Amino acid sequence: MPGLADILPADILAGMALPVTEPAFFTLAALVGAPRHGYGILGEVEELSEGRVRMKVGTLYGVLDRLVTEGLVERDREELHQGRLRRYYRLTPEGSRTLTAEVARQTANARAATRRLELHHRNVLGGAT
Amino acid sequence: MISLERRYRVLLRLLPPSYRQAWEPDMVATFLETETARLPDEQAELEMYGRSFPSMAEIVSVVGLAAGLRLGIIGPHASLRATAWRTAFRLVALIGLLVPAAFAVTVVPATVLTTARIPREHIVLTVGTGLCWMLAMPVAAAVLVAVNVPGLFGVLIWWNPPGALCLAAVIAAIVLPVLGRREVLEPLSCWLAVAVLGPIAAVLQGLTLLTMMWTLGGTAGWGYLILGMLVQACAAGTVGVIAVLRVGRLFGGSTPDRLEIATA
Repeated sequence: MPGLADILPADILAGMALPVTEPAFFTLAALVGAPRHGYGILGEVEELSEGRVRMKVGTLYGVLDRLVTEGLVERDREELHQGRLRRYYRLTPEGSRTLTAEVARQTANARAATRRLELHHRNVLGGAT
Repeated sequence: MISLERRYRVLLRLLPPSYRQAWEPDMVATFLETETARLPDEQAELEMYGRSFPSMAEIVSVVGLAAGLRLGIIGPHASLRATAWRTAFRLVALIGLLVPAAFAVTVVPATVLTTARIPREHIVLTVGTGLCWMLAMPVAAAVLVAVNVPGLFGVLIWWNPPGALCLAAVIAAIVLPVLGRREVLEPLSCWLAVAVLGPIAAVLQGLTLLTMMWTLGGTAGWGYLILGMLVQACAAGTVGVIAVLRVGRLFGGSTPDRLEIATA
């Protein structure tokens, strides 16, 4: 059965960005080092983003569904907590690789923009004096 | 507490059944934890009595998730699907412009050849319409997008319904992504163009053909009709083949591994 890769032209595939949205990025980052359950991920994301990203439950489970299906995250253990089942999730090696690649990409972007800004400020300053 | 949980579960019924089966228990547990755990114990107890509905933000997130999952915007390979739609849509829009052009190019000489005996204004009308189809639509599209005058569009619909609908598809491709989030609107505009505009344009184009045939009459009319139908059959065949090759299989249930695509 041919997949999307066979149907889409190669140039379009090559130009496509890695589909790591901000919620997905923080979800992956929240799972680094330790498996977490849904509520744990929400708290960790808020902390990681310094309160900037406050995911709702609906958003989190849209992201988790995608990440699990794509093999970046997988189910870990289940625990009983106050009469309710808590399901834990952990990063797969592939998820770890994807996050690393995304961090490298964002770092490179930030570095490039920083260089531009520094150059600009220096030129503006140079022109003023 | 019980009623809050029950109401949240009612809200979750918006989600596709297969998705709910996989995620509902987990979502309910996490939701209830967010509702209780951020408050001190005794206050949580109090809040829960006072509050039996999920917050607006939570409702919005679930409604958005349900809509996104059902439209294929959220979920595995959503961005790939959006790209596929975008490609398909651009193709359809391009063909929508090319078909009337090809139609005009073939029909103009045919009409001139077969209508030596018909009144001059009919030839002028045909040639003029053909040239307008070829030349005016991109210009009109640019003007309409620039000045946004609904009246102009109305005139165009009266003058050339199929052309106007093709134009509408083109405008949808240009304007909708600009208005909001690309990944939401582009698949929507694709659905709109393919599902709604396509059949309507085909029917109107057929009506135009019949009207022209009736206007021209006799051999000229039949020539116009047969040629027009041939051109349209070719165009429809091309669109159909491309659609089957490129778009059809996207929704056949096969979802490839992203790794495969990344390394392909």
